[in-house]
Amino acid sequence: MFWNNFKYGFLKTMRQKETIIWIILFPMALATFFNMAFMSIYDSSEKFETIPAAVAEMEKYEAFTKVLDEISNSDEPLFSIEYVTYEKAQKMLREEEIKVIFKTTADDVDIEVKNDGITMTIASYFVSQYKAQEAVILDTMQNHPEKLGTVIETFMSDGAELNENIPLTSGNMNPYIQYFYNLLAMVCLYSALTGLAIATDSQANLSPIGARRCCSPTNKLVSVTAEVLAKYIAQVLCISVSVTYIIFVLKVDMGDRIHMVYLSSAIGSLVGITMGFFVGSIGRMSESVKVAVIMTVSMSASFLSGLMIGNMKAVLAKRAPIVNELNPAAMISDMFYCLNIYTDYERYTEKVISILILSAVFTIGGYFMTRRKKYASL
Amino acid sequence: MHLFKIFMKISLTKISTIIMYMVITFVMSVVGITSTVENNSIYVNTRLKVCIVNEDNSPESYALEEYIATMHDIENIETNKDTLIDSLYYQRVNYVFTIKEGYAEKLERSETDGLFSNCTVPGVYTTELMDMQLDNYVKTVLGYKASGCSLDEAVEKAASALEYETDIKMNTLESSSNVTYFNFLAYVFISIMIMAFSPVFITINSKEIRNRTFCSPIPVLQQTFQSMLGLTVCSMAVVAIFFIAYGFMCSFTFDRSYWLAFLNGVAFMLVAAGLSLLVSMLVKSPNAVTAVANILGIGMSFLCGVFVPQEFLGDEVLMIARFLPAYWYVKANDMLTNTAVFSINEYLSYIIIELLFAAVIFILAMVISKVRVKEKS
Repeated sequence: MFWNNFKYGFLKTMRQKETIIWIILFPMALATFFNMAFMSIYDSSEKFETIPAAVAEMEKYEAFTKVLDEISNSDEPLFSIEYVTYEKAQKMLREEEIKVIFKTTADDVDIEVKNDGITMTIASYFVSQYKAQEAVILDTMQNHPEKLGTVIETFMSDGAELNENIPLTSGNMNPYIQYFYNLLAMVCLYSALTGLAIATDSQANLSPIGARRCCSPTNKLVSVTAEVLAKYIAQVLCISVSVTYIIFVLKVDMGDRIHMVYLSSAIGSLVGITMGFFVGSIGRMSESVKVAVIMTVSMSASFLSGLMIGNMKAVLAKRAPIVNELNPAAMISDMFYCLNIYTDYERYTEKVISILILSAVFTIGGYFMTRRKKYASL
Repeated sequence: MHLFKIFMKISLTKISTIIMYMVITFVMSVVGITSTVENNSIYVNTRLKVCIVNEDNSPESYALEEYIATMHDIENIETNKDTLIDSLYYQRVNYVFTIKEGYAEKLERSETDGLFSNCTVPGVYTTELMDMQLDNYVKTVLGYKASGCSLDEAVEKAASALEYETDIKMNTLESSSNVTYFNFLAYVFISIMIMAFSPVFITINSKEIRNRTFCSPIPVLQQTFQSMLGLTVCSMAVVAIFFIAYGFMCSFTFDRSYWLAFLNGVAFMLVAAGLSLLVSMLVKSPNAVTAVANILGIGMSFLCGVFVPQEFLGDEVLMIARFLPAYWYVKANDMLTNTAVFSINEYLSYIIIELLFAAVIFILAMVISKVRVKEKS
């Protein structure tokens, strides 16, 4: 009887349009949007690139422009410089050809920018540091002119060994990859819809098949276990399609341990299925209400783990860390994160254990709520 | 006004769904805004989050700490490897650096090698900025020292010399509005309208109710008008709720940018209302409505710059986004802050584009509806 239940549970799941929409098509569509939106965002917003700038000389400030020229001609220039009129510079700024205008007078520099942010800050500190060095030189010229050579030599030194970078990880530190982690987490949680069907199909007041099962002599534990297993395997197959699409078609870098990414999605699906089974077993609400509850919980959990706003998990880690500890979407997305960033499996194993415990709680809870249910009338 | 009443009655049966999605999206908006505002304030003011490990504990190293604290926010985090990786990845800190033991002694000898070590994400703007600042600080101190000052004197003079502030000009509209909230409304409006009102239209257009309506003496034009009136009343109520809620958040400071954002919000709501009607023509099952709402809501939001600023999106993405109404909605909102140069004519032209999108969507929905009716008859 176990294999009979298993077979029909599996076939039923694979024939449900909702499964195909939610577990395969929906994440594939979202992953495509994410990929389009994020394919260049890390390079354009975070990665350092030479800042295009224009110099508008209202009056000549030769010492400053000389330094700018030297910087723009170096191997890894901070700015690329163009000398234009002020009106032309403003037009270029509006049309986003440049990011900064250095407007010089005889002994001062003003900065004009379109946006505030890091580019403005770099330009602003560049000018203030130039002014600081100018102050040192003027001070030296007044008090110790004989030491001017040494001072200029100090400023010209490259300071290459001043600040040593200690690499922490060889993993992909692109923060935008976490949108894909969260997307997979959401898909895992959406498998709750499949889990809900297990509960619905075993409750006589919710489905005809539930009524049929309630009056059959098969042990509830056997039929429910067969159903859970069948739906779980179907779910793992579906989510594997999404993972394959993300890694091999969209070519999102989720680390070198791809087989573990598949395993993690399978583990994540377990919590989704069991959560659906648990929600489906609560009370005697109609199926549509239970679907609404599952969608709300899944979407909110995904939001809190950073599906819409990437740094949400970090904000919660600071303000309400318990939410991250209890949020199944955060646990699942953390599994992918650990695989990508950490070389060892210590933290990964912690997350897996948390997910397994949560799944066990949902399963046991769901089983206790569905067993020995009696109906006076249907 | 029978049909109008029916629309409102059916909407009332969906009220729990409407309220549920409103609460969820409202909480999401508020939480999202709070977190984004925090992120933006770092970005806008570009005060990085810096963690300093001082191994030297000399007056010179404290002076450096003080100098860094004037420009950035000092964060104290555990310095074990896992915490450092997590903090850098999630940008709880942007830069972690150690002032190594012997810093003051090396400065005294005018040596620069190995003064600091840092843990950071290499090759990003924030790292370049901090590297530049540390390098320049040390050079300024050593410059003063080379000019004949003692180390104490050099440190003191360097700090005051580096205080120079550059004059910075930006072409923006003075605004107290939170554009993140207004941008987020694009996602909220699409989600609420499709999830809540598409099912209402699906019910109204169901075979039995539709047949009953057709055999009534109300002319077809009147029927359409009443349904549209119902949709308009409900959609404007949604707009009003979210803008009044914003009023509470900004202590009712209704400046010019608030009203401009409101106008933009109304225009975009018409697009969202049109989408709800169109979706109801194309989709029949409630689950599919939810899927379409999510794909349209989240997809359009990511492509058009609702969740991610437009300036960071690639040219190809923006090229595609131009064919979506949310792109113009966000573009108009961005004008209300310092992310774009403000021009009232341009602002109004974006709103007109949104209205054109709304008109096209409504016309499309009407055409589909007509074709369906003809096919059935």
